[in-house]
Amino acid sequence: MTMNNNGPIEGRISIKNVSKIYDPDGAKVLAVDDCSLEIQPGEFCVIVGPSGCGKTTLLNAVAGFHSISSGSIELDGRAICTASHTEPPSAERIVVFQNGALFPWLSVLDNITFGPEAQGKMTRGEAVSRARELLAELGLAPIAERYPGEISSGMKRRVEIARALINDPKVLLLDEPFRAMDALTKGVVQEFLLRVLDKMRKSVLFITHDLEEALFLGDRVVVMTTRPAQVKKTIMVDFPRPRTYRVRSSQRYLELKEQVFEAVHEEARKAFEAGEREMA
Amino acid sequence: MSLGATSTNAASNKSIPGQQVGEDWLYRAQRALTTPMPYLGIAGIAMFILFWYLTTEYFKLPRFVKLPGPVEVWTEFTNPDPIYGTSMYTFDYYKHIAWSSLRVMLAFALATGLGVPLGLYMGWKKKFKDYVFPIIEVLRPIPVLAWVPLAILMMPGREAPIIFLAFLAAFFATTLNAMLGVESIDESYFRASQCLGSTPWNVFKRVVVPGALPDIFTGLQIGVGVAWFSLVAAEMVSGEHGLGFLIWDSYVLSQYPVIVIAMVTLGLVGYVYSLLIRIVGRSLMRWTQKGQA
Repeated sequence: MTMNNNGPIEGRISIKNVSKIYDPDGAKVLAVDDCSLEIQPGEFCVIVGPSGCGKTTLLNAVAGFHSISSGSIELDGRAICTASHTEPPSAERIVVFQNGALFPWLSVLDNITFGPEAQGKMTRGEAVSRARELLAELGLAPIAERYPGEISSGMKRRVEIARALINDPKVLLLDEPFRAMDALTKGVVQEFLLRVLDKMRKSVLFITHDLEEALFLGDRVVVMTTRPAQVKKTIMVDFPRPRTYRVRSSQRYLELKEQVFEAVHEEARKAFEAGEREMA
Repeated sequence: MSLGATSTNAASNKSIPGQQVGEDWLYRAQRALTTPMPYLGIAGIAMFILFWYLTTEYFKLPRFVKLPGPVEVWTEFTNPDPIYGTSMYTFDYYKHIAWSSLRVMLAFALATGLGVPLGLYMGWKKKFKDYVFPIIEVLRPIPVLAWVPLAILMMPGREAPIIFLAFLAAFFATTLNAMLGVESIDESYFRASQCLGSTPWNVFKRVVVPGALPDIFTGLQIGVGVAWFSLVAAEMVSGEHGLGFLIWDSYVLSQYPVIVIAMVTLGLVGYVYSLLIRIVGRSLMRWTQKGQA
């Protein structure tokens, strides 16, 4: 697979007035309330917000895992999720999961060829040679024959990102993918993701709790309110790409961090207090 | 993993498994001999036989005196001209083993061939499970012996009822474990395979089956055990060959040492069966051991 710098022309996600009501035991819970957000082709959009605020609900709706109650989600102008219709998941919007979902029974190589083979886009031979190219390009060639249980968590995440990219998706959906990692590993994998996207730009919807991560990775940071989720504040992150970890010590970074922190902290406090009331 | 060490880490790891392939088994066996584990097992068996010897042949305790002791059993078993007609030198002994083995193999093959696909499908498709699971849960607790009359009425000939009874017990174990195996697969694997564009058949082949494999093999282990268990019961009730028949026949004819010979043989043959299944399972699930290593 050759990676080039041509900006993508596809991959625009339009989330329009989306609401989602959960109704598990008769008590209707509004998880997302009239949320609107537009992600430009090739934009890296990070969503931050307090725990349980409905970020994942929104991402799962974009992925096609569940329906929404009202509003619509469009991909390049085509409605993929509305109240009446949910297009099933497909390889044009690939999710990288919070706890990782590499198939433990397949080697790294077979995990990567899974997509092209499953879709019947390539023969086994073609898929293997393309996967090897991609692994070499991403510096993962030495672990091609190993099983996920044998490699570190940082390696697993990189492989999972590669497994998504070989399908050339229009959109990457990452749901707190680096959550359970120690700080050093996290830094390495974040840089890996940036480097890969510099070569191969994609629209990205990235969910996290980690504000530093949000600023380091994103073109735009969207702060959500506590449940029901709405867009509280949007912060444009204007550091030039390619970025390195040096960004983190700049004055501008501190200013932006201050802004994001203030917005998130307010919502986190509200969520906390709401939690306390529920407990009493 | 640290920042600088990523590539060297990967490279050095790679050389380790390559060396171990093939020598792995031998190496582990050699290692095991340096630990107390095998010797404790041998000591345990020795103590059991000593207890058996003391109670039956040395002290001749009241309730034990009728039982054949280890010396008597061993003498009979190694006698080229056995008093009761069954020893390691007689054709009959192997004929009984062969009959029972053949029946268990058939019953077990049926239980695997029908039970595993059924269980996989039940675990995969909730609606199908809703149909089938209640019947299975009601039938399952019925002891195999309670099926004996119906089995004889339903099945033609002498062999079919026996095989049916052995099959039945194993079938529940293989079915339910396969089902639980699928249910234990993390939802994110299903979602990931959907994202990667899988067709349903692909999901079945590459997620459902491998994901359930560890539990399938647990089910097969249990299944082969209960197949032996109910086979012997069935052979006691209706049969003219097999180890279960041999036990019952020897009891009726008061040939007590033969009972013990048949019992120990059952234990050993049953152990070999579950060992074989474990070996097959291990070779199919390399990834689980590597994960632990």
